[in-house]
Amino acid sequence: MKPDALITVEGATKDYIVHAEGVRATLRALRGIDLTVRRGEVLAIVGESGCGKTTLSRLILGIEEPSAGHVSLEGKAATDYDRLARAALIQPIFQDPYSSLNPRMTIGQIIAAPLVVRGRGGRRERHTQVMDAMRQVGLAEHLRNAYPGQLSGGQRQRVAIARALIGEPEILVCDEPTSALDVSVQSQILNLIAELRARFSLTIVLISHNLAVVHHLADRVAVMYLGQIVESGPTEKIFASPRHHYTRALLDAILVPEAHRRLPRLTIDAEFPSPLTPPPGCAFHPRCPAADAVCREIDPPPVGDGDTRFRCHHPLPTPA
Amino acid sequence: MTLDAGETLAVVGESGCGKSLSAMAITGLVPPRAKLIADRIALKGKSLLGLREREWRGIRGRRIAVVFQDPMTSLDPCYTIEDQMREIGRQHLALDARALRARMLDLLRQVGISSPETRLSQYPHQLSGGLRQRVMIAIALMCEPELIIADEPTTALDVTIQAQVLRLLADLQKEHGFGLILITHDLGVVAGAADRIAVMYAGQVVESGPTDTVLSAPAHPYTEGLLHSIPVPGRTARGAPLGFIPGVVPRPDAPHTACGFINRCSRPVSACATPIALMPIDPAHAARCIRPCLGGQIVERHPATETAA
Amino acid sequence: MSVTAAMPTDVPRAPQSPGAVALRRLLRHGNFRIGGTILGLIILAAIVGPWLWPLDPASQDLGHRLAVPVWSAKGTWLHPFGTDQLGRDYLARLLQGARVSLTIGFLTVLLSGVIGTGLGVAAGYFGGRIDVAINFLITIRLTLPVVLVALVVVAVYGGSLPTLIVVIGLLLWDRFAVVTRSATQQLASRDFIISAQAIGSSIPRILFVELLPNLIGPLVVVATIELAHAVLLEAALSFLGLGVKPPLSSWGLMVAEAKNQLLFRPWMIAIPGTPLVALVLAINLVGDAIRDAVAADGRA
Repeated sequence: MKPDALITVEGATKDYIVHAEGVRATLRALRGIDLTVRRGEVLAIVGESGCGKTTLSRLILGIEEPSAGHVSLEGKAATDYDRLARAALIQPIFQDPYSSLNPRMTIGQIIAAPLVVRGRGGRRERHTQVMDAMRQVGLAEHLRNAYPGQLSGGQRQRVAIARALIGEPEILVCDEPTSALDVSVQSQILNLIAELRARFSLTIVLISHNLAVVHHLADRVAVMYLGQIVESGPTEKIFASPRHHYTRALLDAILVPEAHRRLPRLTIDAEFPSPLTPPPGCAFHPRCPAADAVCREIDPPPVGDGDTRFRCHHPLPTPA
Repeated sequence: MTLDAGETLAVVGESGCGKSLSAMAITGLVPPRAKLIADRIALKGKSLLGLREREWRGIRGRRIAVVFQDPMTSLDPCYTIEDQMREIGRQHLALDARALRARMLDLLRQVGISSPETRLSQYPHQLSGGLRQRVMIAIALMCEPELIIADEPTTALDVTIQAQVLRLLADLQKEHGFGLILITHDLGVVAGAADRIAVMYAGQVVESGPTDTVLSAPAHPYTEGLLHSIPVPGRTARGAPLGFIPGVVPRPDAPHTACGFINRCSRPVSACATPIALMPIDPAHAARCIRPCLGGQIVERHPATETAA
Repeated sequence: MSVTAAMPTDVPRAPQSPGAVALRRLLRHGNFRIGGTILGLIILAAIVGPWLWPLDPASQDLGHRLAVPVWSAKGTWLHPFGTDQLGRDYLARLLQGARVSLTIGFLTVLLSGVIGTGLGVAAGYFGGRIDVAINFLITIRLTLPVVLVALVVVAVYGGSLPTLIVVIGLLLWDRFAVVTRSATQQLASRDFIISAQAIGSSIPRILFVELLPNLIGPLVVVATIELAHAVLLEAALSFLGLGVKPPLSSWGLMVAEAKNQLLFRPWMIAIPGTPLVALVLAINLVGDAIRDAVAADGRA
């Protein structure tokens, strides 16, 4: 374990038993994930639906246990924490603020819940803390007695953030925190996350498919494909010179609202293979422009120079 | 809004701004509880207002086709792809069974489906999201429509698939020459895919013009605010605060007694408290603002009332 | 500070709980007004009736057997609804019957509701083996013919009021279990439950504070269905002579006792039959209205 590693994932594998077309099958959602998140950094996990990024976040949150391998927080297995200790260390923020707030509780009750659960402080003390938290995320005081149904999407996401932060955790796991929100509200929430991160020196795991958002917020990026991390490294480096062909395609696919842009022609085609029957060899080979016989046979091991790692037999060249 | 053959118009706006509703009005599919008030809706000069349900059926699917956001819910899970395509063909095309099948296979090939024979006999749930959307596009093309309305066609898809589907629509348009109305909330989608943009806010078009003009020199403060709120790798400084539009969208039942954007605008003046008309900036570009930003400078325009335009 | 500047400037609305919203919608519902009025009248009659009409429903007066009600030519105000074969005052028996029907109805629904909700929530929340086991229980329960089992138990243990309540209560929990199980499954996958786990909530807190309030809508709807069901079941058992035993009175029992008089004294069946029909109808109307009121809740 590196000295500054806050979250360490080693060889984590997660299997689910599923029933596809009447047949019992094993879905390997994660296939040997190695990952470290350092204290104070924003690590983005990027990938398309079904790549396992949400499963990975659930392992980190300790909601689920890996089928094999280890996930540890501050050197201790995530599932070994008792519920209160874990809650004090790590908190999630979900994509859909319509689903993450209990419709039958007031905003005040929702934000105070972590304090109530921990039995911390008297009624008056909790009230002050809730008010502070609401102010910090930019919620008006009178909303304390409102119900989630009366709030806009952006306001609800602020409530979710306030609830996550009131117990002063060190780690925030944000699963697509803005993709359910309107464009003009997204930037407000991104700004808020960035500001709170600086103020509370949070460590953030950001799960997103939006590379523009990732580029804006993250210090490091891990690109996932079919249950594996295919490339990871510092954001600037990954965006400037990706080594894996899948990363290249993801970057090409970013649609930027600028004049005189043409639609990208991607170098990859075909569709995502089913995670139930991952292709042999390199999982990406059916879509890869550089695939050859080796790729069809042998799964490339992670290789890397310095702080970047990637899994590819024929990596893209680095600019000299 | 107007649209020429072979052209793509993007209708952009946030949820609840009325972008889907205005497009659906073109197909006559207005929800029963909504009331449509329009001066003129016309296809190739022929008015579509006041058509009877029977006449609509000859137009919908045949001359105007729609591609929806979620291909899982717009395909019937009980029928195979072949059943669903044949249904459209039977209603609108005078083809015998063999010719119809040949056409279906041809269309599936055109939308980039590699093994059309197997796909025809499959059910929607057996296809991935991207494939389903391709099938939807093939169905839309069945009758060589003059207009295709695509309502958030790529929002439910993954980023790499999204780019492919947009590319496909553009390629097909070149080949078939249909007009395309692309409804989306994503300005990034618009940038590459549309010739012209209509930005909607609170039920009104607030700015319209050629894509490149609107994106590089937005005249309306709402368009400007939207563009500034989106991080762009390479352009926005990493980690720096993003621009944002304060406040929330007005409730749809709010009366139109002032500029709809007045409460969130960065530069309101007292004259904004009257309804503002969509005023031309140049022949192709118009904005519903009396203080638009032109060439980097805010220009005062004489407030024209809505009735005058 | 930029964050406070970003605060949405909407008009403050009076805070309203989803429950209050549903209640207001309910009070405006036509079915609720009709059903609620009837139900209210019957409950009121059951509570204050025996006090306003203090004749003993069990005291026999063989001199005045089968007296006709007040609206027929020979009727008197001494017995407004007439008397039965044993000369007991029919109005007093009717009022006592209302108490019996409602008591059995409400208590059995309470009992079966607690059993069914407990099992349903446990099955839905924990899943896995617990779900399999509880599903097995539900299936067993569904294979038991309710009337037949009730008949057997009452025949063996006798038809006292507590026995009836326990028997019916133990038989009617299945719908509660099925409905709460699927509702819980849906809720458990919502992020607010995962959030509750992530903030370290204990399982009782998740179940009682987070989950249960969201189940109240469907629970009340099922409760009305089961209330009507229980009232009818009691009437049926009493009619078959295996429910409420004389001298206690019940509407089903009154119908049973009057069945020989069907041709000659039809009012003797109509008088207990009408409120029975009205009660069940009223409960169903109220249930309908509640379903509409909570269904429109949607996501909010």
